[in-house]
Amino acid sequence: MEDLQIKKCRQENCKVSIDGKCLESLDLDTCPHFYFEDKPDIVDIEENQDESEDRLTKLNEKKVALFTGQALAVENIQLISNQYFCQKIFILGESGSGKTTLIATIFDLFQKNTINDLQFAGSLTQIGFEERCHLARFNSEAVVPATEKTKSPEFDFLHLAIKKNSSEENIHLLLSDISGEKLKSASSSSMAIRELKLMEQADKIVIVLDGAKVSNKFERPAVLFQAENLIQRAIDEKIFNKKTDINIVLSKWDIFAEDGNFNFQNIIEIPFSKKFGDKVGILKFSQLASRPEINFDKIPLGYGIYNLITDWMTLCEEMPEINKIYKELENERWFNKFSRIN
Amino acid sequence: MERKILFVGLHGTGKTTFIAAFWYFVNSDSPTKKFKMETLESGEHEYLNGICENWLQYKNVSRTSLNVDVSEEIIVSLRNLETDSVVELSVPDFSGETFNTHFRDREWTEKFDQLINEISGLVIFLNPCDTNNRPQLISDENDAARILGDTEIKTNTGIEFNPWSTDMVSNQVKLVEELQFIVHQRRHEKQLKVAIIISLWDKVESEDVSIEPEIWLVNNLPLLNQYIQSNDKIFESRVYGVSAQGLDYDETEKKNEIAEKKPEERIIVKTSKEVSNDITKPIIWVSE
Repeated sequence: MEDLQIKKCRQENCKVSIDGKCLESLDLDTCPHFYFEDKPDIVDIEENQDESEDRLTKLNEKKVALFTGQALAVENIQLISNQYFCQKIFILGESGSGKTTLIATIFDLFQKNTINDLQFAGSLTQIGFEERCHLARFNSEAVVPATEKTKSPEFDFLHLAIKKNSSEENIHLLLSDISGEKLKSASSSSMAIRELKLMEQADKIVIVLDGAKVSNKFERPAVLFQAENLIQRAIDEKIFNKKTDINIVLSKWDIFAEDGNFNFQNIIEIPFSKKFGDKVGILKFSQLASRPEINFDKIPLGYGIYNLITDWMTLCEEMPEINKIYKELENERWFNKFSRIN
Repeated sequence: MERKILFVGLHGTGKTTFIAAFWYFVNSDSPTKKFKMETLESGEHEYLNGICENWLQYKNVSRTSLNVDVSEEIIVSLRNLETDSVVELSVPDFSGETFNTHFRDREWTEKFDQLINEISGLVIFLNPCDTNNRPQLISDENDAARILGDTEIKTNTGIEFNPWSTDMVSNQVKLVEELQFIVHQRRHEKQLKVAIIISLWDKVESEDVSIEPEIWLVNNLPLLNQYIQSNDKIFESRVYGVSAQGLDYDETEKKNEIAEKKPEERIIVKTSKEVSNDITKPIIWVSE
């Protein structure tokens, strides 16, 4: 089978097609950039020499690899953070709570319109977004919008550049996506939370509480218990501290739209504030309905997303002096990238 | 100084018809014409004359309708008669497959990489009738059904989902990606002029419906519009509604009526400021 195929890599400097070796010394089966490409069809060459020569010429033309567009593993986020000053937003929550749906809906909203005064200014991970949006599109054959469960036990990052109408500069966000199972084990194990030490680098932490479970009084205590445990373990391991900015988001808010008995302040805000208010930097609370399934007339698609994004962007506007210097250095590095090649 | 301009468009976006009508203008005796031809390969000349003749005869100008051997890539050098500058139009392929391949394979040729470092402008073609210009969201369709009184509770249970592939991605995402590839691969930060041509403009507007091309873009390819507008340090853009064909060739009565006029009079070139028959306007603006 392999005799009919050529070894190829999406990375510009990889010589796998020549020497068969991965640039990053990985097994070819595990390298995310590696793929096989079909060799030209021998029968075609014999039947139509001219056409096949054209094809061969094209295949033999030297190629330049372009960025993959996939969500980025943590070791690859420098591909973006070396070019742009980025806000790292870590979105955490149990499986099915709506983390990935939040990310997918942001991209879907931009594909429909601006989000109030926010404009899409680019993304170097559009493929990653498209894959996450797939089950909300007609061509997936789904009849109700859905999101495929995130399987990655490591943080993957999606890049999004946004411009606020009133702002001169585009703001670059890196949004994390991770499997809910990983977070579940982290909330109950110090060893597991230590594996998530990367969260120390977060500019913002978003903890998504599954609104469907919170609306059920029998499931609610376990959801809140797990979220509290996650925060507590992260504080114990010094991953969260008095500089950490946490937003606790209740998802699927469309369920609560007409529930006069649900007291958001008493059930969510007060308990978390009492426990963690003096242990982290900022603790705030939001309501979210990425893809409302009921009460459509009151709760539009992407309810709460504008407030979340503007919160994620505010750090840049109120950037401390040290970060401004960093940003200037980053810009200089970006400029140098081009001047070096020139 | 020579300026290079790249034509970008997915399959069926009206590039060939535009070039056929443009070729007529360049080679006509029109006193208002701004360009004359400078250089061209002989085989390409034959091909361009072929599509131009078909255009003049109200016939399909598709590549397959002509029995002419021509390379996938066409480069036309023109001299601007007012400024005496030379403009090189580069059409990498008429089928549009090149741009799909860039998106799917995440690579392009070294030759193309060189070209995008030399261009000063782009002409992007859009087909307003393509339903894949933006994604079709299930939530939009379900909302519309509910407004019409549909109360059926739907579920995905038992449905076998189609696996995701790059073929499913909307045109606006693919075009944003092509522009991002260009920005990412250029080794300098010179601003790019981008003319966006909404082809088949006669199908967008009618006697009863008038719309500005910019507004049409905002409504129909919002992601592409936002990307270009929010990166105004990189792109200077202008949107044109263009009907190079002027009408649907199946409209016999209208065709008979228009055929009485000069060939160029059936062309529509609309901007927010004016409507004209001058198909060279987008090229003139990009090459300025």
